[in-house]
Amino acid sequence: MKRKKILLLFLCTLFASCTKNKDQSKLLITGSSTIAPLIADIAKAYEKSNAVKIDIQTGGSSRGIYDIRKKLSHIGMVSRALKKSETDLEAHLIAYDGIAITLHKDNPVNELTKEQIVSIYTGKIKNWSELNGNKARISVIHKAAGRSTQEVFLKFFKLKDKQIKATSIIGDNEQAIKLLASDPNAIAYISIGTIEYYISQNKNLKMLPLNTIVPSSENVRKGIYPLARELNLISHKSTQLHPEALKFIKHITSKKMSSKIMEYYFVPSN
Amino acid sequence: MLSLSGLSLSVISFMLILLLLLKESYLFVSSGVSFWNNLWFPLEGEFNILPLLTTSISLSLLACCLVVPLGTSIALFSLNQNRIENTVYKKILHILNSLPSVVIGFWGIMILVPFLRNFGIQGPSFLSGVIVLSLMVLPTFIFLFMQSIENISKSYEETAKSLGISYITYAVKILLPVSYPAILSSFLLSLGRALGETIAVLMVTGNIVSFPSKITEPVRSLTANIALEMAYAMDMHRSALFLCALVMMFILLVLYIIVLKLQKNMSSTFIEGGA
Repeated sequence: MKRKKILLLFLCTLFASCTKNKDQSKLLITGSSTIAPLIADIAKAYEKSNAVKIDIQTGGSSRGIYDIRKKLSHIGMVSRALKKSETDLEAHLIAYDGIAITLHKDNPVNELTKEQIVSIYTGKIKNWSELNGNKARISVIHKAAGRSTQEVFLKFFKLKDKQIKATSIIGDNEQAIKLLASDPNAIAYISIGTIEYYISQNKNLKMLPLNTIVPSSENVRKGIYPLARELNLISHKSTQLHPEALKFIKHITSKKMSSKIMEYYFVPSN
Repeated sequence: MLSLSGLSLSVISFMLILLLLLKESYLFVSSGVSFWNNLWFPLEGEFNILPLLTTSISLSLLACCLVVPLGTSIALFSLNQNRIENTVYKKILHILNSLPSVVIGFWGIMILVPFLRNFGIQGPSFLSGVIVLSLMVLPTFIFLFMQSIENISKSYEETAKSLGISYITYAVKILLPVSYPAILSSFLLSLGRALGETIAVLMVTGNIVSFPSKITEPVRSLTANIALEMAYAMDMHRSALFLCALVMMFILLVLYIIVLKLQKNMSSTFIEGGA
């Protein structure tokens, strides 16, 4: 009798999980850790007025592309322009962003040339004293493979991942900020939007000018900052976009969201 | 009947996982791409499991070697039935055991790594990985060890007390020599746990692929590598990651078979069975 009861309970729980919630649809958005905080913020407000549950996960732009191709997610977040080989994907441009070389505020070095940055990242310059800084080893923070911040950075400086000699590899932007904030001898390249947002709240990091142009969302908007990139939401070209996903993308690219995008120090596309 | 179904469920899930690993890594194995060339640069077609494997093994071995003397002394101390504080120690150990991997990794990156900076170690390193791993593995070792020798300890302790031997003499001169096989099997099982640890190690070791040369340099473990890249790996790269997982599973299997053989020997030595 006891065995029958256990079996009955087990079958009940199995079937109970089979019901579908017809009222709410779900959206899964995965990809770039640069875009994720902005989308998460917009989604929170969007959920209040629409019957849809939005789930956002990071993992890098390459994860965004992979999940869309394998139909594991509805929308992908990619923080760069699509490559020529990515013909099966469609990009919805939402904003522009830049990548800034960032140091700790207490680091006496205030400017680095392109050649110096390349030397630091390929391990030729190992000590800040060679750049008129403190006598300390440079902690080089590099992004993991598959992140478009890394791809854009490497392309701009004409480097290959193999050539980089780093002291630590991180995944999301937040990890880079944590490492940088606790180490005055570290150097990293981080999205301008993320860094400006962080600096507006904690003032212990600083961005370095590139080719004498100061990194700021203003300069990205003007188009004069050299290391700029697009922020895209991607979907599959051939498969029909989920109607809720289409609604959400239209909502993000509408004029109403421009101020929200600027709050995160990105440059809206319209 | 219920235990049989539980047993078959675990055997079936194990076989399914093994089959999945074999199926997914077949692509890489059959392509003939070298698995021990240069370093790990998957986007440029270079795969080399050796630096990752040696890092994982050396991290775990070192962490477990640190844990054995510390864990044995804590366990022997806690087995003393007289002292009331021992229940408190056991509760603290349970809490340490239940801390999620991510929490300890977070502690490592926010407190341990800046602390090590005072000793000239810049940033995440092999050493911080070892320290964090030992923290994770210590409760496991202690509980396994205590489980193995609790039965013997109870009977021996009564005899020792009646002879008027102090607890410390009893623990060091009588209990410790008898418990060497238990230490060995607990060590091997903790080694298996340490090998599988992913998130804590990923957060504090710096994730640079290289053969571990200096303890102050950053490294990347095999499990951290799989966790970092699995989300977006495609085709050959994905297959290579599955092959890494297969190698890890094989090593753990060998470890557990050794432990089983050891425990068989143990139970024939003691009158009352071990773990």
